[in-house]
Amino acid sequence: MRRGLGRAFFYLMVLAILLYILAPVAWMFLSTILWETDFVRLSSDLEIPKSINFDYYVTLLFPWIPTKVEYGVFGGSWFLIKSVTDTTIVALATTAVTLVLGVLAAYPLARIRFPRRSGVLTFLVVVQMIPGLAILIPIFIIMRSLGLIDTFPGYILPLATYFAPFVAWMMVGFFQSTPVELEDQAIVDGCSRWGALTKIVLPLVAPGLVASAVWAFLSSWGEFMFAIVLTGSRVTPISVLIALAVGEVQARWGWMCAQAIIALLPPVVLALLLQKYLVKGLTAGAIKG
Amino acid sequence: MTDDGAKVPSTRKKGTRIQRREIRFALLLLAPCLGLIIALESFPVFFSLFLTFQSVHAGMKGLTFQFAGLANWQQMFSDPALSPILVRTMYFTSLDVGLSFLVGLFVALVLNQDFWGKRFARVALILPWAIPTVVSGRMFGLIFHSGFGILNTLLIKIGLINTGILWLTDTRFSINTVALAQVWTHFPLLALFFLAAFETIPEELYDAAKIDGASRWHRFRHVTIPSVRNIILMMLIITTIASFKVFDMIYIMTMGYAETMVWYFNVFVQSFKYLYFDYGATLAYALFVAILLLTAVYLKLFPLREQ
Repeated sequence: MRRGLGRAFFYLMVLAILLYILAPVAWMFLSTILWETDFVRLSSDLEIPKSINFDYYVTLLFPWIPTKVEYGVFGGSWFLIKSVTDTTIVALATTAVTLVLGVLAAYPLARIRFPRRSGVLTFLVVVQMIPGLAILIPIFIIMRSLGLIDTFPGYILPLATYFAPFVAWMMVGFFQSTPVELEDQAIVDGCSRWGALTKIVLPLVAPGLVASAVWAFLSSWGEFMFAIVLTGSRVTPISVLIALAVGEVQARWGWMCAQAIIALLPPVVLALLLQKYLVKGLTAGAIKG
Repeated sequence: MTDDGAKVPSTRKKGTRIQRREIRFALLLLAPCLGLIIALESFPVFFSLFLTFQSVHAGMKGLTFQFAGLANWQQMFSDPALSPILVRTMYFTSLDVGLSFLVGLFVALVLNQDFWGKRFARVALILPWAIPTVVSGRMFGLIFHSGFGILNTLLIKIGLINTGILWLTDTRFSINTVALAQVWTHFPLLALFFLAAFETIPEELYDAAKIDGASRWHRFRHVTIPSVRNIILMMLIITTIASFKVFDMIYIMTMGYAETMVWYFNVFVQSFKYLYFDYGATLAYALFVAILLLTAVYLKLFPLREQ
């Protein structure tokens, strides 16, 4: 009897945790499939709405299809599609650059003895401690004088550089956990260091590469602080679109939340699908140390 | 590359040549990463330091720089607006870190048990972490809305309050509201770290404690906590630094109004709203120094691993 009660209490706690995680997201989703008046009545009087619709999404994602939704500033325009395209370009390019920089730097740090190696490792840790705004002020001044404000390279390069030390740090751990014998064998068999790295070692650290790639994609997809300083109208990451919506669409919650739901889908789907790798990558270094 | 690598190095001279080639290879791989970091992080950091001793004017023709000595630093130490901001930053950080730890530890302890649906719960745990902060900010804006927000409605229906609370504009609540929203985005990573740490605790320790007649609480207090103590210390420092750097959530929820201005957001406002790049850089540098001090403590506690 007491055991049963304890079990019930335990499941109640599990339920509470799941509610805490999922209910806010579900609530925001609900606001996007109801007319605004219906949602306000539900939210303020708990009045059950009679119908649902997906017109916000249709209007945002398929601007050429006429819908009955009251047209906001972004409604019926290509704003969201342009922003999602921009964000996809930014996220993919940032992930690629971050990964190349981080993985290339991590390999010698994990495997090759060279002077000042521990100095470089310390440098990579200290660099991660720099508050983004401390470098954003000069980067803004530099990019402005180069005419690179509101362009893809002017945003992607600083961002990828900002993310690279963490990926390098994470990959050092993955490289160190692979057996060194296989590489040595390959080198003895006539393989160059580069050949050993690309043919033998990289496949071995594939889980680490996946973890790094997912981390970089997630971080750059939702990045906001660099975006609000370095981008604008020519390049509009979705975080900027969402943040600036209030002033322009006059607190139209249905629109804003529909944009927000669209913005959260790519990173959430990726994170859920590749959760195993991501969690391993994030926690591995710390747990071993 | 020649086939030198195929031969086993027999003489000392050859050994050093291979060594030198190895070093060259290492530097070649490190060059792109370090080069960009030096160009886009080290150089800007020194540029920022330079700015703290300058007086920068943003005019029609662009920026003009003038040496200003310690004026910016003096301004920082005598700025009456800064002391409430500093206190608030401390308060926000303690609240954010404290609650994230409590929630994270609780969630990890529950999800560490065996139960039906455990895998689903663990997968769901990553959700708040994966969602972009501006999106969660917007989401909590909807929930904490003072007019029609569901939180006020539920609290009134339960009978806890009579009239809706102005969560984001009433200065008694605003900073706490932002912190509560921030906790939702911070706790999953902590929970994941605790879970990973729990898995490294050998089962025998618990068995031994059980045989010795230790209660559930005693097993938690004397087996679990000491085993994950290092992780706790490390996460404490990492989360504290992350909390100092709260930006997205403030921007989207309050813009720093209603007494929610914290140090880091003030750096942004001074630099990019008022265009006081010199003073903004000074404030950013002060934070950088604080974070470096914390990091020094961190490195003292967890020395870097060498192979």
